[in-house]
Amino acid sequence: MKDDDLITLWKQGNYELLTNRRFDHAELEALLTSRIGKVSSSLYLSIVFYTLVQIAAMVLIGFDLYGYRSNVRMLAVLISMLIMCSLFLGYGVFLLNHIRSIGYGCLDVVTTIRQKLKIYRTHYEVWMWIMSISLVFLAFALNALIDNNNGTYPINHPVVFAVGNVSMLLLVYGVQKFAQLKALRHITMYIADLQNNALAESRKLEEAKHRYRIVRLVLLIVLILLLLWGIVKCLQGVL
Amino acid sequence: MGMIEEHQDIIHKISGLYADNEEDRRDLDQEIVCQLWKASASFRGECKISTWMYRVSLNTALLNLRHKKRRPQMQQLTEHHDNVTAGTDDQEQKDEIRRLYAAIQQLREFDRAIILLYLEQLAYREIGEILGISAGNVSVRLVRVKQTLRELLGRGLKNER
Repeated sequence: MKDDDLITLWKQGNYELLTNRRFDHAELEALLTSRIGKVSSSLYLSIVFYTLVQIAAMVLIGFDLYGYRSNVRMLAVLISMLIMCSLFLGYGVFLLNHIRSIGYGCLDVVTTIRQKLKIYRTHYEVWMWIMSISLVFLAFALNALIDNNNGTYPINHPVVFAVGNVSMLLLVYGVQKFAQLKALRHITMYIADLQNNALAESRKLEEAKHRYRIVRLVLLIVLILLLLWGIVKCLQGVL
Repeated sequence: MGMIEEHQDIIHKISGLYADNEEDRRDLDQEIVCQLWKASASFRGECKISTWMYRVSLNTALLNLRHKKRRPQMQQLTEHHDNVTAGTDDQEQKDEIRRLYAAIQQLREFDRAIILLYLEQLAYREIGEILGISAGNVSVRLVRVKQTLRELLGRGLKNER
């Protein structure tokens, strides 16, 4: 088929399509109104959510500072946490503005994709650690508030306490890292497409998707079995 | 808003190629309109309006990483193809149009963008400006994409017979 024939066919195909699908002004406004409040970027949502977590942590630390005002050691810990939360908050605001400034408007496709990739590889990597630490701080601040024993915070099993907090930190980071890798894979595929390696990348992506499907299934089965085991143990204890 | 309304054909052409079914197409239309509206504040007329709209719309379509509902491939294509062939009574032409759209939708996402802009008769320089590649790169890639498209069209014709 000649190029001119392709173009003619394309135009013919578009003619009726576009006639039937035109939006009028009211329809366009309706599309915008229903959408404009939503944020379509999961990255943006994540940053907003964890910024709120940091604010919550700072509020709780504020209460703790009053509750442990006579405990020098706790004061030192809480003030350090407060300073770190403030820095995290500042970084979160910076990141939100940075993402908003990129948008989709001014740049060509390749540059937009590359900018998005850069954010995922640099700023978001830092942000994932910040998210994990923020949650640990929030949990600690809440526990300190509840377990305040006349201005002391009893840690009966320091090793368990430390291991528990580190585990939580690594778990939150791990989950976020998994999601980041998935998002990065799609974006790097587009970049590879530009370098004519798309076939190989598309195949790798499909294989990875298939592998992840199996991993998810196995994980689901393990979790269900653990849940059932827990329920059985509970019932045995009760009966 | 007037700008978007005037050039909305661009939105429909892109959503028609990048959405698998009618529901996804409506979602993508909405997403593109929203992104265009947001980006319009920063548009200073440094390029043609159509170039800018192609850029934003393709960015949105290509970076719109959504989980799509699983539907059989043929069912996804048939909906769209019925729309594009409704305007003609010539059965042979209808079949050719259907085959063309089916073939384009089998191309990789980035190649779809290139062939779409080519079929819209944009200059290589303009295509490069929209996609962020050089005009030379456009020319080279277009040769490959057209060849792939012709092979897909040939395969489609063979399957029908």
